[in-house]
Amino acid sequence: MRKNPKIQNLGKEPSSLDQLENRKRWVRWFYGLCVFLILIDVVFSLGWHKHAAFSENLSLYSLETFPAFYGLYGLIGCAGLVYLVNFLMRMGGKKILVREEEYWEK
Amino acid sequence: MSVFASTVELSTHPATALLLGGLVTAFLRGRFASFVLILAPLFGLGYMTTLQLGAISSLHLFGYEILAVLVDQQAMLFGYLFHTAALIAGIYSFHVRDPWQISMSLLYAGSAVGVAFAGDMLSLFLWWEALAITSVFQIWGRRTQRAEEAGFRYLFFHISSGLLLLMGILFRYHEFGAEAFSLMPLTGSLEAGDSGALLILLAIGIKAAFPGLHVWLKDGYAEATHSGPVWLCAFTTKCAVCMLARLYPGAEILITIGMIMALFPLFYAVIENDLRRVLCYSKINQIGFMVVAIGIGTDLAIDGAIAHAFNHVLYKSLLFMCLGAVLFRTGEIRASHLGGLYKKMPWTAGFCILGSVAISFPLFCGFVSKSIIITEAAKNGHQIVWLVLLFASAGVFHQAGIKIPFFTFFSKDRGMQVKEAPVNMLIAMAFGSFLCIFIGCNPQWLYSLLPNGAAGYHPYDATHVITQLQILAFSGLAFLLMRMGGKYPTPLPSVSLDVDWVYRKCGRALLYFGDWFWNGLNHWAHAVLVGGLTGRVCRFLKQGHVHTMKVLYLPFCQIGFLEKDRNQGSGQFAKRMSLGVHPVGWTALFCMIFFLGFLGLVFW
Repeated sequence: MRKNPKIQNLGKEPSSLDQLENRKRWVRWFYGLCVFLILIDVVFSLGWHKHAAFSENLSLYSLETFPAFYGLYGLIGCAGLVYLVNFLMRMGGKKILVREEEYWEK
Repeated sequence: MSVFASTVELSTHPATALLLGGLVTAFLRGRFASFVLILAPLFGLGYMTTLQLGAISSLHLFGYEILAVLVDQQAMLFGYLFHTAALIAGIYSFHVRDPWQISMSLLYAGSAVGVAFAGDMLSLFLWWEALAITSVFQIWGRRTQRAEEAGFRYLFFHISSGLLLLMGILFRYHEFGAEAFSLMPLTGSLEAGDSGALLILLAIGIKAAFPGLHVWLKDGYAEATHSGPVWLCAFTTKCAVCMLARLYPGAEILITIGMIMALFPLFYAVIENDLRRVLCYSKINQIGFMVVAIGIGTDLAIDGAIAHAFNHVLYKSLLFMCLGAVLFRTGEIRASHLGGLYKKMPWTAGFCILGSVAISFPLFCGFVSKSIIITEAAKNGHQIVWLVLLFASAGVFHQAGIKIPFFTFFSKDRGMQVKEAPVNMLIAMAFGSFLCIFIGCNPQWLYSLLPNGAAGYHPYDATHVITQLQILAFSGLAFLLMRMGGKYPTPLPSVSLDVDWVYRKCGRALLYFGDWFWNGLNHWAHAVLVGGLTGRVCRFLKQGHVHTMKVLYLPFCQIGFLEKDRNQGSGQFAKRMSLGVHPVGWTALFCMIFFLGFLGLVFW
């Protein structure tokens, strides 16, 4: 079981991280935080006027004001980046770009 | 800058305290030098507070009037920044006992202050070169073969930058005369295709780590001493951002360059194993934000770029300090060899998390400046730029903000038995963290120092806070899910190739080719001319006439010049020829032949 450093940001007991149960609890808290942020965004979008970054005539306006757009963009963007890297590495990038540590000394 | 023509004449250069400190520490040893390392920036800061806006200082050098200092709002801000960074790095380097490193680091900080306050191109050039030479000692200070070579590569880039700058200045001087020395914006000239302006942009581009010109950064910083990058990250690239903001506000090409800078390092940050290199890539990504903002060029965007440069120094030096402490204690900085250090170095781990969070979380310094840039991109209708910057902002948190603390302090425990970082390092980290939080909570303090005061910008708007928290939390979620699903690449002992391959491998190939061609030519010429031709000429001169006359012997016999006994006659004849002894008749015959030949040549 791996843990996420973000949960450290919420305040932590260093020794507690060694126990699987504690890590799982932190991960659950973190999932809860993500859901909470989405909920706030939805409530805020419906109940109040969100300050859009773009003016209304631009095509990104409706996308940007869509509830949870930022969260989805961050999730998809970052996961996509890692998938892209994995894909490129499989396509030969691993042989071309990633070399043994003594590469420059050869 | 005629606006300031009638203003106060400054008697002391703002960098004096740092430069004097640098000279003094060259002769001091032990703790005395370390105290000067802290006192010099403090004195410098004290002097900065007495400076008046618009003050100038000029001097005559080589028949030119050089505007050595011009105090304006931007110079003041960078002056404060460089002194503060020098103070933090000074506290951090308190235990360093290498006089070269200590002395050069203060001279380096002084040169950076010189660049910030430079009043014209000539003084800028002098400080620019000083910046290159003084900074390399932070790399050489490690005293390994790799560091030495990396230092030379670093110098190659920075000296080239200085030469390009000089070339650009001279081109413009040739075209426009003394007016070319002013530090007025060159955006118009650049867009009109002026080669001088382009060369100056390239010179600044090298220091700003433009794509393709960036490898000195990850190459040099990763080989530097444990305290080296704390100095290096504060000055060189920020001087470049300072000059870009002065000289190229609103240059559209910068938007494209900045976007590339914000994007491509994310890829390398995933595959890179050396954590200081990961940080270098995230640094290029953050400079990309500033370059985009300068390209957008509105007052608020320029303010955003400068504010971000200020904050970037604070959190990036904090992260470099944490990694430096890890390197100092464990001697290791590769993600594949680190892990589980939070139990041994809890304070360093805490400060590292703070530094990561400061990249973009609300209530920390990165948030109050990066958001200006992203908002300005949207306000000016740059939709693709906005999408790219938003992704880059999430990506850098995902790569640098999470990857670095995770693989250093939390992933698989490698069982290293190390102590917590030294007290002076912890104090420096605490001071850096305090500034990150202070500016994050009091952005107006920073905004009031900006050239245009970030007029009308309020970072703490409910929409903004919610959306930023959301994107950061979800980029963290992406890391968590990828890691739990085993999709996140496990760090392996490796080096990743960047465009450095081009100049390191092709440079080596060029060297081999040069060796083969020129040395081959040399060997060939030696073999042909010295070994072959000279001997042959000597032999010909010694034996040629003997052989010729031996051939002519038979016809001469037939004509009747010589006796009929051919064998004996031929041997005797050749012997006489080689000794140069001939009977009188023969001598007379040769004289006549040569004389007739000569006459024939003359009259023909």
